[in-house]
Amino acid sequence: MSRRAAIRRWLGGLVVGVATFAAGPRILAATQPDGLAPVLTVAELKAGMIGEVWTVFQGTEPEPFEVKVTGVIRNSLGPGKSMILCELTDPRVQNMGAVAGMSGSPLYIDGRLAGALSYQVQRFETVRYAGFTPIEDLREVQSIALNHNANAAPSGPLPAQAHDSSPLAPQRSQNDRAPTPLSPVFTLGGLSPHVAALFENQFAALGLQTTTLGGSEAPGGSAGGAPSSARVRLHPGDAVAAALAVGDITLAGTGTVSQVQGDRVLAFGHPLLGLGEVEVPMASAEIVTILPSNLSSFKISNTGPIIGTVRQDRLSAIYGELGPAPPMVPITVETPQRTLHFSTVRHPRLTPTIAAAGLTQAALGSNDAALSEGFSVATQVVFPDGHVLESSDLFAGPKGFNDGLAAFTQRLSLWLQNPVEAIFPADITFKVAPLPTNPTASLDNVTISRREVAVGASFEVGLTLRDFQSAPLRQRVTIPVPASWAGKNLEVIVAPGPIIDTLEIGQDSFPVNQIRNFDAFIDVLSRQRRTDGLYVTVVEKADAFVDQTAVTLELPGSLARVARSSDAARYRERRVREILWSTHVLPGRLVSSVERRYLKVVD
Amino acid sequence: MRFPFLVLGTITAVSAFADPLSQSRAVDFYRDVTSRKLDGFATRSDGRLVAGPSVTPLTGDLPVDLIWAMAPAAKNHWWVGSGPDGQIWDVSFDLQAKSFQARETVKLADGQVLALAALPHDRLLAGTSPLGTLNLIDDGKVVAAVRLPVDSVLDLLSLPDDSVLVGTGNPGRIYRIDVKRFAKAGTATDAVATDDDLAKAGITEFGRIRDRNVRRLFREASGGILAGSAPGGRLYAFPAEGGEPEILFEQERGELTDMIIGPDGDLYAAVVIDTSSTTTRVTKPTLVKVEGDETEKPAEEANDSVPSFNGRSNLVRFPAGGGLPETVASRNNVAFYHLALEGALVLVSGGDNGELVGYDPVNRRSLTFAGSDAAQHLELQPFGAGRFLLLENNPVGFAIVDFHAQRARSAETRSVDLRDPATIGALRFDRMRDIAPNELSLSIRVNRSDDEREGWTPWTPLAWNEGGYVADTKLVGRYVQVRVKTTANVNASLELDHANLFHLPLNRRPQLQAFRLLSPNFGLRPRAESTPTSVVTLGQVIGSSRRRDDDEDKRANAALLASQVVPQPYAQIVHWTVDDADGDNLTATFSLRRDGEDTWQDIAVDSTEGYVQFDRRPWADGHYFTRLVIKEQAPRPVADRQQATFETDDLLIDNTPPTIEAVEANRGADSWRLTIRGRDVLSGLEGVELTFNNGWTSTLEQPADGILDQLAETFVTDIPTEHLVGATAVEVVLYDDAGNYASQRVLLPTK
Repeated sequence: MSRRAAIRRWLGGLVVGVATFAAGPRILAATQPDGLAPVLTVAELKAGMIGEVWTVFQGTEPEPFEVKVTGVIRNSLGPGKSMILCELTDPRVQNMGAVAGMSGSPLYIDGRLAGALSYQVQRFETVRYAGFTPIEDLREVQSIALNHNANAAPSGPLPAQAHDSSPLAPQRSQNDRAPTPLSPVFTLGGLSPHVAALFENQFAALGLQTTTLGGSEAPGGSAGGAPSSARVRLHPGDAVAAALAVGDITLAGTGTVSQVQGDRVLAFGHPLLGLGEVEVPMASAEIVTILPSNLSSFKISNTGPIIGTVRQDRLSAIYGELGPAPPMVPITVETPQRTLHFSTVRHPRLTPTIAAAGLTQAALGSNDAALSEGFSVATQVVFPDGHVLESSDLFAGPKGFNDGLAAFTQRLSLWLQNPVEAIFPADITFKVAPLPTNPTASLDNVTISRREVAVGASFEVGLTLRDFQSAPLRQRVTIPVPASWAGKNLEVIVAPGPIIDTLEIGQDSFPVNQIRNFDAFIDVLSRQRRTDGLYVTVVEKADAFVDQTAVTLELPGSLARVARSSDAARYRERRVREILWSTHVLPGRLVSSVERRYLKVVD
Repeated sequence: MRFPFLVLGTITAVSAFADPLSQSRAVDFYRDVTSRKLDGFATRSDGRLVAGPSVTPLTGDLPVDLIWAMAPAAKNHWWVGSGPDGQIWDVSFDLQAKSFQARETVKLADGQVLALAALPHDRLLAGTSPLGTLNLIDDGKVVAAVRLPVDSVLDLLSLPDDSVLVGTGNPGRIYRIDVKRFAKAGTATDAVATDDDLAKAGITEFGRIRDRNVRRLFREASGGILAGSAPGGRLYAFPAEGGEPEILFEQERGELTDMIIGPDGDLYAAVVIDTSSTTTRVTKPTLVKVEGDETEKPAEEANDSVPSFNGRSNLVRFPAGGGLPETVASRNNVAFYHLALEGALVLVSGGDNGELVGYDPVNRRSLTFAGSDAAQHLELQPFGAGRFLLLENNPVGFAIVDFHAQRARSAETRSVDLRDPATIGALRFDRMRDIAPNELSLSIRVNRSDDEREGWTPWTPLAWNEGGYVADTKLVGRYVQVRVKTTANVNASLELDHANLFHLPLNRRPQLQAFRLLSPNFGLRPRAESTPTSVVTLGQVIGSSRRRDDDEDKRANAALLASQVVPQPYAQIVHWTVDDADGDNLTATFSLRRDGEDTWQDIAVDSTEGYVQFDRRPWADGHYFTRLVIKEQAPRPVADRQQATFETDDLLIDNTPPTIEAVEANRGADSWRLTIRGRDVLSGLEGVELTFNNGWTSTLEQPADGILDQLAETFVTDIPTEHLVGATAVEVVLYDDAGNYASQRVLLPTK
């Protein structure tokens, strides 16, 4: 006999005994109504009604606490979206009020399901109140899901919002008098506090209130397959989590189940991120305890195994289905000491942020201190159609990585935010390798042996370089002069790869309306030269006709005009540098200088 | 000797028509008619309207953004290369239905199909960009493809030996293709790097240039190959067997887009000089129904929204027997794309406003033909019986240019500015050749604003009357549009020379520019007006529209201002300047009226001078009103004459001398002090002049209180005694502002 069944039987006996002799205060129902409990609509609610709310205070078993219906605030959440206001009369919640993590806890009145706890309506007031989402609104979310063709479930990434954070994501109101959704506290697992702090603002910008005060029951859990067999059933009042990342790195928001009908689950009573139709792993959860606070109490939880998929993320609830987990993006971070495996939901902003957090954890958040001088990060993003994006970055010690973290995340985000086709990466891998010395170097001087050189001859470019805290280093590059350069005024440019990339195509960014297909998108991202070392180049100024990313130098004006008249966004004209000759020198160093020398070639 | 007679006659004519009120505005059709307003007409560089082609857009659907090249496939069928998806289309044309149908035959791996060449046995060679591939297509399939080590294949030229020359861009190369060997090369996707690999595919280098692009290839009758380039704008001449070229011509920042042998046997080349690459996206024009016309035409808003090419294009002639190139025609803001021949004319399809122009080598005149709705015409291909197929871009489509269409012709001028609102008179052609007045219908509309769309009167028909075309209703406006239409089947040799639009500008009221009452007691000795020169320059006769009466006015005014002004007691000069924008002859009547009286008394009546001087003495003292009435005179019709009147009350007549009320002379220790008190009734005092009988004189202009501002003033002066040694009397003269004076002799006291 399970512990749960034993408690229910014990409570049932107690209720029978009390009911027989009851004459004093109202006693809570000993048995929780099941998922098929009849509903009590807003129209039937009356002030003074006594209800009971079921939620998990500790462990996995829900317990009831008493509330008294104060009234219904009509249209408080928008036209037709009312909120049930109840006074929290139970002594157990007097010191905590409505708790983040209780969101979704079902409210029963006379055995009928009336709504789900969802809003905090006060903070420091002396009498505790809470807001409840009416059952009609919760069921509306389920009906949206059921009316949707199951075969049309999204297979692509989660929708990205236009703004940094979702407008529907639970946000704490700046107005103390406004009801505030009991936003789920997203528990970051597998990240050191130091690393979690680095990403706190980035997660906040996405609408996620994160804490590392939580854990996960199943490190290394997988996604995209069958649910764990540990527990696949849910009941109203149970803790449930929506997991955005699972595995060695976890990120999950915990709330409470409002209603269960078969495999269909309604929870939270408010949105997770307000993304609408989604595919987010649904996991079981265990409540360690509740941290009471007059400002904002929250549940500390452990995220359990994946037990299904959240499919709707709406204003009034999230809707999920028990069963298989949704597809996720597997991410691997390899370091000499260890390899981290985790998976994230497919979201153009969440995925790179979580991936960067995992990478940062590998680089900065462990005891593997061999990265103090610097390290390299090789990134590989594999798309389902076989396209592969690769990059290699050098970082001068942990601080260098810290400094470049935002840019790194932004670039990764750019790789994943493909504006032209619904394609999302199938796999992301980072390889982190330590560097024996600090890779920072400075370019002291660039010399050119001749300013005027004849065809058939050659000239030398001299570089004077200093490694970090080292003696000067000199390197010479010999450049032959072919006949095709005769009569030209050229430039010798010594610069890092990204600078040469920009000079070559004449633009360092591409407007979305210039890119028309995924191949061009990949081409934009793939044409990057190495970021380490320097390129010594001989270039000539030229006018370029650019079709998306394809550069044609000096295309006859008659053709360029016709094309640009047809589509000025796709076809552009740029002043570029044609790379006549190029070599990569000083690999493994970080040099930011750009030097330019002029060269005249005579016949 | 005819020349002196001619000059004399011209002078006489100018003199005879001095001060014309009616004016005429020449309507130069070459200047005043845009190509989009021509249908069946052409405008010629001598300003005439002559017969031209009609341009008929063909309806059909070709779902691509760009079409680059066309090659004949079968009767009424053409292959058309498009972009950006690398398609080649089989397009069939039905001229009866004025339509076309397009069917995709093949899609290439590269995006832009820039060049096509039809080969025997229904095969097709296609060159692309930006990967620079060469494709052999047979029966809708790519049977051979090679990616050349270039960015673009820009032109293909079939040679008599069944080989094909390929002109490429970046770098500029010419390859010779052995089609039979190429057909067995297979389809490679990587660029061919070595000459050996190219040779295996039947491709050999024919020649190379240092300019970036071989834009156009042309085979001379001698077998030599000409190559036009970009952006150096060069014309290269290669030997028939290839090798090193000779440069025949260069135009910096130019593009030699096409070549053709003209009807005179000379080579003509189109050269585009691009000084700006600003282009604007063009949208497909909205089609609207034009009243009384069965065809749909683009709305004028769409026509106006097609800016773009801001450079220049030249048509350069290379004499057949050698010699230096010569630019025979040039257009600003028009790009020349393709050349063709129609009879004795060289046709040029252009852009970026749908231009279609021509050149007549025999008469050395340029022509502007009717334009099309599209922005650019990259090709103009003969279609038989005086018809040409026009390949259009922006929007993509086709049109038929028909030089032999038997239908009504029409032309419409742009808004012609008459400079002033005017009553419209007759429209008269200088010459009308091979067309009778009854074969021509004209209409006109006017506007008082320069708005292109708003404010226009309805089109008013003009009726033939005594050699001119006249409206039967009065039209008044500043901006005029003229529409010319013929009946169908008029003689194709018709010519309509410049037209003169006669009009009577609005008569504007003369404006008084200056009016001055000079100080009294000055007279004017008018300077003789300079006689007009008897020499008439060529510039005056043929170039200037400046009115001669303007010159006369300026001369008279200059003479007056140069006149001498002399002191003349009791004289009063009044001067004015009047301007009449229409150059009317003017007279002035100047009158006085004493304040408080009603009667004006004329001083000068209908004077043509700009001044009057009169004697103030007959006029009683007092304040006077002045009145200047300017009137227009003949030849302005009496009913139309305008006048302007200007009145002031500034004139003061003061003929009464001031009064010396007292003179005191007191001897001090070292000087004499003289005190003079005086008064004037009207003008105020000006000063005192002292003349002692020992010859010493002194002038006092400052009164004792420092300010000369009262009708009564006291003047005080101290004169050292040494200056008045022997003086026993002083003559005191007191002046007022009007020049009147009073005097008094005073004996100096002995003590």
